[in-house]
Amino acid sequence: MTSRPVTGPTVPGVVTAAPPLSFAGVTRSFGRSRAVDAVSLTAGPGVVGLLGPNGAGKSTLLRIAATVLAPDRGEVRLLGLDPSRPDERLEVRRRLGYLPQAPGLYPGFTPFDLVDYVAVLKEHTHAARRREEVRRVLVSVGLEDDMHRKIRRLSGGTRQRVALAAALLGDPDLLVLDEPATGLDPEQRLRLRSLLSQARTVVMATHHIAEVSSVCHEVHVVLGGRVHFSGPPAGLAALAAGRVWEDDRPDPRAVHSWLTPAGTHRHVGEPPAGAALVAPTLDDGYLLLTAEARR
Amino acid sequence: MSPAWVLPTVRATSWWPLAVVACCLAVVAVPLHAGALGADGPADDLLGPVAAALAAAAVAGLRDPAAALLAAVPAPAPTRRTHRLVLLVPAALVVWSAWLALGDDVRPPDLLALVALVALGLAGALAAAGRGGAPVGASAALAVGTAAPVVWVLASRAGGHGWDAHVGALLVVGATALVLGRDR
Repeated sequence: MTSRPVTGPTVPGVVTAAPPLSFAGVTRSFGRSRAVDAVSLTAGPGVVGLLGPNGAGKSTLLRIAATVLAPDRGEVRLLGLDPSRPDERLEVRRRLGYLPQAPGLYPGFTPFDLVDYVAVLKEHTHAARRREEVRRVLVSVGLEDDMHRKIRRLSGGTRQRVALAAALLGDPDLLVLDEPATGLDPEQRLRLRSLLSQARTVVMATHHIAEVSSVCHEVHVVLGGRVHFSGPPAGLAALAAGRVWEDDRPDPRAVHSWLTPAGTHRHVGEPPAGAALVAPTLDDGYLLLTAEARR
Repeated sequence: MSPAWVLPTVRATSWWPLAVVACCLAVVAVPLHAGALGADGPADDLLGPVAAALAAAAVAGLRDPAAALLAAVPAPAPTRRTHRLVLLVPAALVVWSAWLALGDDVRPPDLLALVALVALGLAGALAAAGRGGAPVGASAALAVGTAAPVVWVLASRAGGHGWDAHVGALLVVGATALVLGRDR
């Protein structure tokens, strides 16, 4: 699959290049709780990961990115369009795939029936072409043998793949995925990585740092509704350079310590003099960042 | 939108609330029809509760377990809700008409009265949904919408006026809620 340039609204003679996703000062509250606080970020072609603990605001950001939720303040541009305008929101939705965190399904449907229904709602009006597309996305997530079984008989991971197939319908320009690897076994995760690497622009929230390091070219760490880090995964790991050491004892001065399978204690924080420093990983950088943000 | 939405919407719609109410009415209708309950047809006192139950069942039928998955498709939530109402309201009206047909000397209120109660329930659900972004079909808002017709009939009875005395006002409330809640 080749990437194609993302352009804004069609104006004769004018083509405007724009990032597929752009947030500027986006704020969203629920009652007195501010879920997203003045977030500015952009996402270009490729896979962008959102990392953060539960309740950090990742899902709210993704719901805004999927046009499901409007921000209280700030500017959102998706595929060069303004989703606050109904006509442009409709155009965005035609080119968008969305996998929510808890995608409920109809238990009495088969995967084929469900994805076919979603295709109808996505304006795939030509019946034969629609069925062909439904079959294509179901096969792409490995459901060729299960597409005609009732959803109520499928495992949690298989249901997750049904919802993912629905998001992939029409080969969308922008894929918004909230915890797409939930419930997937290792083989299915590899397939997911392969699918994501073929997609145009993907914004996904995940708790799986392995997913971020393997498919994302950029990562944003969200804490308390704010973005605390934006950059390549290697940059996040580099935050912990010189601040990770191993010892045979727990170290109370470390902000995080844990026992490794090798039987040594790995520490993140300010190392004591003479500590045996080791190369930092993405986990180290993330843990250090979250610990410092909580202080 | 092509009629392709009809069959999957029929299958996706929660029919069981309406089916439960219809079955209960059928059970009650047998002794009523036989005069065992001392009436020639549905008593006036029963019309309000029956209408409330049917309206509540129609609103409850909007429950959509896949609402989150469908939240970002081009066919917006109001369109999908309308699809369901196009199926649920006629079905409720059929049951309501059958119930009214049991009576000989009871003046059947306008069929619009049932539609007005459904509109009230829809208004309650949309108002309760607020701006939180939770789909109406998958949230506690639907419980508020389901309760609204029942509360209306009970309040009307307590207030001493007929439950179907303000059909026009209820329809206006429902229409207003649909306009104000068009993004929910």
